[in-house]
Amino acid sequence: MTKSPHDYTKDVKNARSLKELEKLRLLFLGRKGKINQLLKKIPELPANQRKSAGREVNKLKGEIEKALKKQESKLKKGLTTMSGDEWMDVTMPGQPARQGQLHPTTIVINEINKIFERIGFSVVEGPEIETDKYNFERTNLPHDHPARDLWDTLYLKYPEILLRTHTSSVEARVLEKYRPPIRAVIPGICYRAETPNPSNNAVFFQYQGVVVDRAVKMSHLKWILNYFIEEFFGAQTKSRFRNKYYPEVEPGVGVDIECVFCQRKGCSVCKSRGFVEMLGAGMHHPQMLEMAGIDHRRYSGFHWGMGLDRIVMARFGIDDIRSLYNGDIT
Amino acid sequence: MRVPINWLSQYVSLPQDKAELAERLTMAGHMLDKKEGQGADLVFDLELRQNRGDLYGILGMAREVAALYGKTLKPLTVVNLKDNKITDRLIKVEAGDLVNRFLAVTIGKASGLKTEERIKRWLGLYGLPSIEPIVDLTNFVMVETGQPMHAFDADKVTGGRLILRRAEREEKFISLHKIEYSLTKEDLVVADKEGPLALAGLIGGRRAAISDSSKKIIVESGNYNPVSVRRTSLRHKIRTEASTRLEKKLDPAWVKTAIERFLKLADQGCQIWQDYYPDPPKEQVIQFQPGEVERLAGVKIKKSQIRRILESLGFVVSDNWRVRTPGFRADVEEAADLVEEAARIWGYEKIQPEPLLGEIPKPIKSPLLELETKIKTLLVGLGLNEAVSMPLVEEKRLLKWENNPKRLVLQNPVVEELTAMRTNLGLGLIDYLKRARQNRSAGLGFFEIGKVYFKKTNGYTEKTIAAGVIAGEKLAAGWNWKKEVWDFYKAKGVVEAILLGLRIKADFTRLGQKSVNYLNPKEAAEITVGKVILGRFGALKPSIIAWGNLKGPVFLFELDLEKLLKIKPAESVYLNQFPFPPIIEDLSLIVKGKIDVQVIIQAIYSASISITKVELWDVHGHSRTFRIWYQDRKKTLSSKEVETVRNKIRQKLASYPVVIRE
Repeated sequence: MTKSPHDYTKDVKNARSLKELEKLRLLFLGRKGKINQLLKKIPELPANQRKSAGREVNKLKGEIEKALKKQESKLKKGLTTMSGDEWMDVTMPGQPARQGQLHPTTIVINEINKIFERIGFSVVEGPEIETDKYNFERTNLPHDHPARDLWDTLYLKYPEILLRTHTSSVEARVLEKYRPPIRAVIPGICYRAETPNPSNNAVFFQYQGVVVDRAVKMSHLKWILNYFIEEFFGAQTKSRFRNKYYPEVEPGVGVDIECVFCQRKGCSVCKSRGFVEMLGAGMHHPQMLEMAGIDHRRYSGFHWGMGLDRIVMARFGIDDIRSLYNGDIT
Repeated sequence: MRVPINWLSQYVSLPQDKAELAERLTMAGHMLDKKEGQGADLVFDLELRQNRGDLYGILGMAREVAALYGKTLKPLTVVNLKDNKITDRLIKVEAGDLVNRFLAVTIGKASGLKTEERIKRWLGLYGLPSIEPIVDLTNFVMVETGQPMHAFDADKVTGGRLILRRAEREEKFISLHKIEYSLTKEDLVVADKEGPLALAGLIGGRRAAISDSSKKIIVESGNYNPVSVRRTSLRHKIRTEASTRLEKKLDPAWVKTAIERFLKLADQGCQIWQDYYPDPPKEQVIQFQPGEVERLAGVKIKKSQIRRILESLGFVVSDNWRVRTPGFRADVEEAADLVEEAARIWGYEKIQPEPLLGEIPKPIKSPLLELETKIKTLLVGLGLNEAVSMPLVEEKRLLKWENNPKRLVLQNPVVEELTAMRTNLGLGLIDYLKRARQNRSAGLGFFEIGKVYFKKTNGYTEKTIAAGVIAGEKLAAGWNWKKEVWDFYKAKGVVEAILLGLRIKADFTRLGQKSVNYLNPKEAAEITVGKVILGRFGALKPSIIAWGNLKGPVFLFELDLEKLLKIKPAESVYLNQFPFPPIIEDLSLIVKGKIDVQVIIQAIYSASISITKVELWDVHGHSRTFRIWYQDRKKTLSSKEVETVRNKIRQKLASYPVVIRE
């Protein structure tokens, strides 16, 4: 007889649900319950104590039964066990129901995908292990272009099998497989022979887009890129659409957006230029269309590509690119 | 490239508004990286196109400005080499495949020769120090024209003849900067009888370097195979003003122009000269249609204006639009290149955006991407965080995880940590777990949907896998709730939830003999649908946990997305099918032998179609209690009917090592 009667009934009075009450009923009054345990101990007591002990236990049993009944009816009536002027502190935290998070890169890719799917683009993906044919030849890179060197590209079997250096390889496959009109976007992981450091990783994400149709011009390219910048960065974002060189395009375009940190005054983020390079674009080189079996006199097209990691880092305030791949951002 | 504006103004008249000049140059393809100084010291640092070697000289930039503003270029004053004595003893070319042109002259050097003040200033603003009058002039002409050149002390050239040849294997060369290099047979050198005097196109050597006491000079300029120059540069890690220019395709005609310009500025006369130029390139002609400008760029430019732009850039345009490209524009090969010239000089800012109208293409479907998105949404809802890890891993580490003979290894890895392609996502996931622990986040789950890579009989294959790790606390203790820790069945619940979300009915079968290096075979399962193995789930081996420096237990699941795609999802079951209330009964058994719960449940189901649901309700030692739902579509079952079914269950269970507790 260790606990006083008062303790047991307190538990009952604090029960918040019928289920809890049921548990307590079993605990105290069940076959293996505390009351029965106590009753079983009575024969161990000296003979002269047995009768009074039995009476006590039965008394206790009665009190517990009464408390259980009372609490049950209270709960059934929807009354809490608190007295008149106590209230529920609704500011106390609720039990966490875990909600996970998507990786920042996925969040950005999903957002950009939506922007383009809305205007008729399909999201496409392709192999990461590529051949020289689709990674270089079909993207109009000349044979002696330095990008093909062992210094720049990671090879599984030089010079034929490599890890794709850009998502243009997937674009080359899209151009070959589908007849115009074509509107596709290609997010994907790319590789380069680089020693990882805070600004550059050997593995990086690119986002590419391609349009091929009749009478497609740079004026359309400008419109699409403006649309993307407005949707993704905001309507107030200033950008410039300037001439820039890339081997797969002619004419070539570089698009920069005004540095959001310093508003063109110059700072370390934009390296004092006032503008941050965002993406490269341009009209397809006629060779690129011809190699894919598209008549460049009937059709024209353009494509654009951007490095996603920098955009993700800027959006989420991450300053080391490697954090996107090693779990530092949890 | 740094362009001192005052220097630039020597060749073309510049607009007053320098900020506007910078902006126009940027839009035309020469982006302003930064501006320094002001007035006579103003310098524009421009980022130049990689495929235009002609821009890496002040003259090249001046031509751009002339085209942009409709001005004329001031002509360069030069000495005409024709008027001087030719020889055949100054040059010997033995590596003709690497040399397009090589021109050398000898001059005397007057002792009082000094570098002009303004040349010193301009070179300084550009970023080159004043060294010695002849060297300064070679640098000046290089920056001015874009064509590099080099001067040797003629008296130190043994045999008085410059030999262009490939180096011998391990041949030694000491550069101007006193660094010794061990050359290869792929390196082109300018040599004399004794050995290399210079790495052609890159840097001169100490041996025949010009000094104040030099009396006779050999000045040379060359045009080489640009790929060879680049390879030598990377091989020995030498980057110079000369090499960055000669890595690009330069016009061989400029070799002569540079020397002639040098002679004019040096004003020391010319003794003898020799020109190795066996194969001048043929003229490039493009038949152009000016209508292409509007067709591709979407901007209307008058034909006369297109003509003016092209001519100011050095192109010769005939009446019927046959366009001859100048030698210094090796980057222009076809009509599209001419469209770019017209559009960029006219101004890209003049192109008006036009909405993309036209037929919306037939959508390209990707069931794999759709499945990925579905699974990501499910997992995030179940409380796991998404991880993205490196597809490239350290082979040593990968082997600790699993030894797959079909793994792929890089041929030219750059760092030791990235030598192979991952064959499993687990390696990256436990890194995330480790990092999370370091950041002291409460117990978590991470998942990744990504590719794993293998050799295949005829090539290579990439598979998309969804994998996750779950460990630690499921729920940290709080003011109103107790701590919960992840265990096998709690983690299994997550996997079951994914399958439920995908409406796939799969079985978990003991992994046992088909062991996997990283899972504890006693605590792991294969996830199967019929004979198809969709994936695995289980606890990581304690040895792996120790190796990974983790705190166990850690649970891992993996699912093959391509296999998942092949399974037809089950139809959703709606309650309307059973409008009559079920009879729910408990059935308790004592398990006498080794038997899986799954087998018992299957047996009960198979007893009658009136059994619509069977769940494991309680476990106590060897005792198992099942809750059984008896239902019929057409009526509420009577107690007699239920008794009949109950007997059928007893019959079924008779053949299993179980005893029913009545």
